[in-house]
Amino acid sequence: MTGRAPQVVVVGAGVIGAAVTYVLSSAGVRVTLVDRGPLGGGTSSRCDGNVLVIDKDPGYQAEMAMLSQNLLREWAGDLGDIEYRRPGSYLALAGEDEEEPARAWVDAQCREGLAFRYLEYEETHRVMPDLAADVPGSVYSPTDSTLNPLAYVAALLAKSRHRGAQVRARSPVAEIRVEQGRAAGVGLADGTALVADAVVVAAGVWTPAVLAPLGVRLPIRPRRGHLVVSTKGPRYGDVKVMEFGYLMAKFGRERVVPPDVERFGVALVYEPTRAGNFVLGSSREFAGMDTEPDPAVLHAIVKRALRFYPGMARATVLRGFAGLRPWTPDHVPVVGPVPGVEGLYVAAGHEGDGIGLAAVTGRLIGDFILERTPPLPVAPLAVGRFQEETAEWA
Amino acid sequence: MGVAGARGPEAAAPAVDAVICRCEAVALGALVAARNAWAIDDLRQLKLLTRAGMGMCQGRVCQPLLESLARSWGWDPSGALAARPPTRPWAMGQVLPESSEPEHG
Repeated sequence: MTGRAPQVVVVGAGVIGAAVTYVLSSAGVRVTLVDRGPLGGGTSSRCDGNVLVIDKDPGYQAEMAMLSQNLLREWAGDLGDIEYRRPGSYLALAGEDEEEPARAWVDAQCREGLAFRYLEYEETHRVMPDLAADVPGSVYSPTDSTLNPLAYVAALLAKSRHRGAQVRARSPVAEIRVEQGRAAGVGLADGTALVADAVVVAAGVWTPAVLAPLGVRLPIRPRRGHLVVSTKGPRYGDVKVMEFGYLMAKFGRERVVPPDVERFGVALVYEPTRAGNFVLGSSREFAGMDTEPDPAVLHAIVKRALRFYPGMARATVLRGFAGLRPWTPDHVPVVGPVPGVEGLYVAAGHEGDGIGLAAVTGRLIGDFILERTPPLPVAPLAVGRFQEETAEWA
Repeated sequence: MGVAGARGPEAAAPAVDAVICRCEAVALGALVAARNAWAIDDLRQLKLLTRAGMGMCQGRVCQPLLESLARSWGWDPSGALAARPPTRPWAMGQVLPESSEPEHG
């Protein structure tokens, strides 16, 4: 790739592909970004705007999330108005049985150098006066941020275009061309051939389908998540609040929750938006590629919110929607070169963390292609780490 | 037929401050500015980035205007403003408390 600027095709114009395009075009790489549909039309426009460390496993995943938060903070100045704010985030406890694991969680994060704090009853209810009186405490992460996801995608693409990137919406990929073991470009369904030195597949839940013709199998599965949006009206605080409960699974402890909460994988997420509404989540289910909202799931999310915010009985739900989070078996994204095909890369499988991890993912793909030193170890992200899982599902 | 045409050929082109979405107070000028700033080429994107059609009435009032505008720009508006459940705003207080069995509505 010496002697001239490399040429890269990125497949997938969601937040991950947009961040990859932004990093590469800012470094002088000639990028063509293609998507089968409108820009940001998949998961990146059916999600919340969380940029979190608070819910990451201490160690590698938290470090990756911190790097991404710091990069995003740098980028925000370049990107213009994407409703970026850093209000911090809180995990509210549902019962006293969660106190001990919550304190252990805070201790583990603090040992890794993060500024987490456990808030006792008094402080919890001073910061979040709308919380139910029986919430015994909370966990606080001061650096957690938020933004408008589709504005983020649009801003990344607008800046990339200014730096010479070509962006093609509604341009499905017919084939990724490989010649003599190297990625050579992409053939579009309309017959256009795009020549490239490298191809990056950032197609979220559609990534396995894009790679399958090359014999590359990845265990990325669509995990459906619902969100509920309120009307403008009373709000229940300006900070982002989740419940500690969905981390309980990571500690191997059972949650004591109603059957629909268990069945739909419901956990409270409360996110006030700049427009004056608030967003409620969340749910996690394997339900194929269906994004039609399920009223039973919306009810379960609302009921869970009322358990933590009884005052929300006065609030009004305006709409609900669902998106497909690209799940991986170890909850870590897939970012790196495809073994056996030089110049072919994957950046996908971020489940519910694509918005938050887009910046660091863009940076890593840039480092691979430009042969720079990555800011963290890349082995945990490797494409080839799923041998057993892919054998099972093949 | 564009927004101007909808009012007859002798009507003046709508002013940039003509309100398209009342609930979210989005004027025509804001839609044009957003389209140009973000290089938007899709009605769903325009909706999500400007909030036009996302307010209390869920697009019931502005949907014809937004679709007509989209067509005047050469976009296919079908599906972009698809209704989201619930079909009517829904008081959270009507939801049964968590201890009850989930209702499948």
